[in-house]
Amino acid sequence: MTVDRQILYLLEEFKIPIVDPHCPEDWKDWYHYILYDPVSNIRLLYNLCFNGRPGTGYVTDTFFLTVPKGFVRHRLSDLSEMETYGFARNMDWNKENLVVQPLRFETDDILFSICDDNTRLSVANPQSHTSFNLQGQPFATPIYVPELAPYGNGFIGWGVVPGFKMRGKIRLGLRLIEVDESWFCYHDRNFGRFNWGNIGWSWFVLNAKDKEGRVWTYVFHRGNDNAFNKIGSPILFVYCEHKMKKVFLGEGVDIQFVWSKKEEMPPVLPGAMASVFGDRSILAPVSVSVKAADETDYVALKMIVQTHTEMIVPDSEKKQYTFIKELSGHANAIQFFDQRKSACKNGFFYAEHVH
Amino acid sequence: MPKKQDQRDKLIGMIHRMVEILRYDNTYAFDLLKNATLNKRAVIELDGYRLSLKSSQKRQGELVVDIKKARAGDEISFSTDSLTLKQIMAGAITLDYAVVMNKLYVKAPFYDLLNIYRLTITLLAEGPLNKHLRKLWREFELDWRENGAPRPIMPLEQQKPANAYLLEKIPETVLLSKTPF
Repeated sequence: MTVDRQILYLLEEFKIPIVDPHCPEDWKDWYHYILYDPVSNIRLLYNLCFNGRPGTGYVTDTFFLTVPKGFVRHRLSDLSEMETYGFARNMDWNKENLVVQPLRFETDDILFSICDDNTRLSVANPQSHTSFNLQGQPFATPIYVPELAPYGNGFIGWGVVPGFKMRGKIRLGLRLIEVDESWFCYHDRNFGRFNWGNIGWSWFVLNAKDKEGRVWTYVFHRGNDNAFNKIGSPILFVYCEHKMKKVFLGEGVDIQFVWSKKEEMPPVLPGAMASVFGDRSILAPVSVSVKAADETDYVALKMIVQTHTEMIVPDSEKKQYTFIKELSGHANAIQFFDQRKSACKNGFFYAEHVH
Repeated sequence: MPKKQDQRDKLIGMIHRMVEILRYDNTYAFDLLKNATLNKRAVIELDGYRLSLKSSQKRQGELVVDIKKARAGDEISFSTDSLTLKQIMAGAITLDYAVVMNKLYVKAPFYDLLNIYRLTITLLAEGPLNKHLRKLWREFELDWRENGAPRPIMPLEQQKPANAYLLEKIPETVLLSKTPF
């Protein structure tokens, strides 16, 4: 399919006005990638976030790699249980690191570029024995949501491409993981002005095949404040065979979390935050269910949580925190579109919620 | 192989820089440092390098930290290795885990311990955001290779002590006893 290049350009365009000498420090602009191998169940999250402006601001990159338990040391590993490796680091944002057009960010450990529809990501963290080298092109319908509505004390806009053909390699210790076009790859963008600690969201991407082999992808987003007192309107994008099929909005979408009975202490990144909040325990989502319907169509999604980690993001100006839970696991879906019902089993989901 | 004296000087230099960063960038952390150290002497050990730290106040009120090589036989108040510090900063283990597993040893009166703990947590919280602390840490992470061992590959699920809260391990009688402050 042909991807609308202008929408893609608007989505990928770097949004922080870095040439403005008065550019506020509360700007954020991030590039987010999720990769998943349906055979090995290996999943990767990478997020590159620019904060503030060059010189005084900083860049954060976050990496989670979830692999079957024992994968690092044994050829055979247990697919029923997963374990997560990762890092998160803040680095100085020097003026010469970033070229905005075409986009290129380069440091000793990171090379990230987007030129036309080619994306390249080469990232290394020798201290944590991880690196990856990926390149690819989007092929799903891009969606660009240039929202300027109030969000926390500012605003946030975003964009989604829930289908990317990525190729490359991921290294974890001595193990080399080959990424080819059979992997599912999701990409989104977020940008805006806000302080961490004032905002929150629930988000997920779900990818699964029905019995006829059709690929269904769902992307959900709902904003909230950090204390979950104010909840925004949910939005659910439905993709079939990488083309956007439908959008469910507002009252037509319902999301329910089932929580663990006992509090847990999930792994936390960045490392310093793991110690700062080392004694903090929280209820963990066990499953997430979503139902959406309108006059003609409906969907019912069920996600069983397999991994639960937490990102704790500090705000440099206000000394407050946003607590982002990262969830991943198996998913089932039932959908009724075009007078046809179909079901997907053993799909995959990746979710975040801020609570 | 760097000379022992050079390495010791490097370590002393880094501690002095940390004190100066706190002095100018974080009043709260600097006050904690002052409360925990003023007019006291402590011996710390990192990767076998023992340093004696003594802090005092000048007439103008300025805090001065004097650091020199510790004498043989001095009692150690704090001991760890760079690998443990690097693991804590990377999130491979938490500070609590390091204490529980005896990878980090600390001994001081309870009041000082509380201040040291608060100061450490403040440094950890501030570290990724403060440009100067970030630079200092980066130098330590890349240049300080005293014990040579690379960080082991560990899944994040192992970052916290398996027995959860340290607090739960303190006997109730101790928790309920009255403290002098």
